[in-house]
Amino acid sequence: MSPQYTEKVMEHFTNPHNVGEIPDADGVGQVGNPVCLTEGTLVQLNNHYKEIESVEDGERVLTHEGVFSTVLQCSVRDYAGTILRLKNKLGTTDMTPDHLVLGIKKPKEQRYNHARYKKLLTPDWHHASELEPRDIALYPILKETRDQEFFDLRTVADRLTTSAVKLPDRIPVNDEFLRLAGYYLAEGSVVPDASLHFSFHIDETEYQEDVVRIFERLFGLKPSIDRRDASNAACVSVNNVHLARVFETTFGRGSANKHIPDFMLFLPPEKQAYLLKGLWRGDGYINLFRKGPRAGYATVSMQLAGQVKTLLLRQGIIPSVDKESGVVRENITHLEAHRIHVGDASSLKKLCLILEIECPLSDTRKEHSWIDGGFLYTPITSIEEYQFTGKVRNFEVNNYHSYVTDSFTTHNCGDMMYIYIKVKDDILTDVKFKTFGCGAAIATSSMVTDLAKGKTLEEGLKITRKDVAESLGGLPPQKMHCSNLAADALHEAIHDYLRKVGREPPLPPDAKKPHEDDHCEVDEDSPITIEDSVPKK
Amino acid sequence: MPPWIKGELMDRVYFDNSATTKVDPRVLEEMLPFFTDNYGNASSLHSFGRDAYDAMELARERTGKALGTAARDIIFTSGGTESDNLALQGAAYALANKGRHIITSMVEHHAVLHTCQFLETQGFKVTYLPVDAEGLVSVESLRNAMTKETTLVSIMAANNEIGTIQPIKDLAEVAKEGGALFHTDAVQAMTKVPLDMSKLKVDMLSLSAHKVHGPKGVGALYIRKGVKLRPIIYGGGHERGLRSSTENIPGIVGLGKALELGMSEMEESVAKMSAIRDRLIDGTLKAVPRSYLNGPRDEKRLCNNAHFRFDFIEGEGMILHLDMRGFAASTGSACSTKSLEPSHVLRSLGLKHEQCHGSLRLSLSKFNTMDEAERFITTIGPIVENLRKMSPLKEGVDYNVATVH
Repeated sequence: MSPQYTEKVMEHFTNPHNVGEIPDADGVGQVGNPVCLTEGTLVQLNNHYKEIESVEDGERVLTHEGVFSTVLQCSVRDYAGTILRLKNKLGTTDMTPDHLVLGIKKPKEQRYNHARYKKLLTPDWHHASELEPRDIALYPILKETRDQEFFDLRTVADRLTTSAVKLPDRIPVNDEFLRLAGYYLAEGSVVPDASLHFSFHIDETEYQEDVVRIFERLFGLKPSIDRRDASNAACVSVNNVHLARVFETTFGRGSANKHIPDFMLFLPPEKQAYLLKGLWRGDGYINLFRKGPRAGYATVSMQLAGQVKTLLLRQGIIPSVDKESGVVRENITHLEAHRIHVGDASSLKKLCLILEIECPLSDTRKEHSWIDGGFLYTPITSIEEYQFTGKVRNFEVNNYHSYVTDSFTTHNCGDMMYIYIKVKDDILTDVKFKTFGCGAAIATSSMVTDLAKGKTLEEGLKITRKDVAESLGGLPPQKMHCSNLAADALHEAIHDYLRKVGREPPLPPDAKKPHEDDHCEVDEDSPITIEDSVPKK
Repeated sequence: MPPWIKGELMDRVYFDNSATTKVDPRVLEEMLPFFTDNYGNASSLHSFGRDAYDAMELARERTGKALGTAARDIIFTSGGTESDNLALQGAAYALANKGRHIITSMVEHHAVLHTCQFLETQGFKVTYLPVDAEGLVSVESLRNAMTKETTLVSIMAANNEIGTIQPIKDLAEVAKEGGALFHTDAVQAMTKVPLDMSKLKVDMLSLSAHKVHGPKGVGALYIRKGVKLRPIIYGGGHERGLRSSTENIPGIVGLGKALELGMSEMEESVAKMSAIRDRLIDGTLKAVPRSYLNGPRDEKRLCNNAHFRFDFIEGEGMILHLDMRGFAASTGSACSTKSLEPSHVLRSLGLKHEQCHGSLRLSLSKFNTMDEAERFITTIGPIVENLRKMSPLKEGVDYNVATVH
């Protein structure tokens, strides 16, 4: 009938077997909707990242439109099967193969290797399994902007009764305060209820004086500078219990806990530039004269790294993010570090403007990633497949039906298929299905019920996608994912049954946990060496 | 005729006339001598050539007449796609030193959209005007998009998917006021909507033979006198140097005849198709719960287009089931296309992914009958019901299938 379908497909499509629900089913398998990412995946919430398993109903997550929306429902299920690990320059996200990712499938023609042609393609939601390295992932840039003129100090410091110098009630959120915030986040520390300290390299006199000047002008305080030639360090200190409390509450104490307060993340990008300036002067570097000019920022705070990424994207600067696990090198213990790199010429130029440095670069490098219409477009650098047994999660997000991990934009759900089973003495006595999908989705559902009926649970788990497709005499290439769904749904129904009766679902063949230290390939913008990524000291 | 078609023909209903149409037997009759008897090359000086040339010029006159213009304003091409390419690329390049901005709409045929996207890679700027929920381009939005740099505006006369008729009279005037050329793709509108070039400020118009009961592989481009184009095909200088290539005489003859017939029978055919369309719309919406009409309901809709969407089901299944019962229709569903992408037209109406999935287009011709409509109405209900039984989506459950706005 249809030139692309075999007779067998048409037969099962026309007269599908075993349609319907089993109301008292012993097991139900559902695919497509709604549970898909592995635990540990970082989800971008209102101004911070959180592991997917600790997100709760009612929290606000960033959506593909670059605005926040409420999580209506969190879901979790046990999963045994293939997980895909997608990587791009922002990070990695592990998901089930049918999970939907916002991206662009790059056609095979040579010309789509050029950015100007790539830019003409329309983004859409794609199953993770359809994507390949070099396809483009979209990452939304936070759109919301809320200016704030003043920062109120009383809210955090009014209950103190010490005799420290009185601070002003509020200070302006201006270039100086934002720069100071940047210095603190990068170089600052607090002695609780006592003092604030900023450590710089002894030669960074400009920054030391900048900090002193800002304290005088904003707070009427006179910091001291303590130079230690032996360690090449200079420490700017302010003894004020109020201010120590203010900075601790607002920006966090200890490198690993530093974060940018909510309101600063929403400030207009023009103002945020000052914050970046302070941050970069503290923990960043920029080298325009090496062979591949680049700039970088390193922090041990995962939250701060994510926030700096957001700040950069809002400036139109394309970052790449890498995580480096903690090591001991030359007798110094290095904590787990998050490194942000900027490598393309147009981004470096923008960064130079912010840092007030002259930029000798011209736009000659290839454009692998670009920013357009509120999205970062960046190639998928690698996709790994591994077998996984454990919990996977997903959300229902109000209105937008999408949410954002630290690296990819993902959707609630996709095609929908339900398989219902009745089990007696480990035999699948009845198998039924319900499916929303094309002819192939219906035919594969019908076929999988046929294949499974009367089989043992063990045999049912051995029915593969390939079995389903082959029993139907083959499927057109673009319909192959339909056969994935049918077999997956059956396996899930069986797992569901096993769990209900208190039995452990078997591990899939060669199931293993992912390696934590996988070194995935990176694109040419972000090769890093330890030397040049160490913040200057 | 191959034996396997015989017998089935009687029962089959063709509701896919926006894809292509049956060649009118009277058109075929006029074409046939030009394959075996008058097969000359229109450029030749001998009698064979003259016969071919005369037939071509008669077709040109008929085409001109169908558009209320002179024969000299017509260029024959290989079809609607080529006409669109010649109009857009030809005008864009010819006017490139005057400006490099083009305006079109988001619901154009790919022949226009992809040409515009190509021009973007060549240093032209293109504005894609959005449409409202019925698929209409607003005259105001065009006015706002016009700049000093704008040299060309291309808006289709009627949409191929949802049948929306665009206000090209007003749109063309806005383009003219702004000093830009106005092109319209009238492939679907031809012989269904009056298109009089003496009354419209249209500078270029694309049309195709096979959508109006003519043969495939031939079309025409109307070019108003004085409009300069740069050719996209070079060679022997045929068609005033704008479209080199030995003329497809049988095809051109067929186009001329099809347009002549189409225009002379327009009033009658439009009335007939409108009545069948209205019956299809009313009957289907009544027969199927949770069914909706896409596109406008009134005179803004093409007389031959009915475009539905049905909750909870996917279009491909519908098409396959209809096909088995002898009905040929089409869907905007992603699953039926190679790309797995739902229609850009439906998406630009603001429809969600799953709503595009459950869509069905019926497009009529003068050969359809009211009886066929009645048969369709009794057929579609059970098909949808049957597919819904298989669907896990149901009333009262808010379901969300992937959607990007």
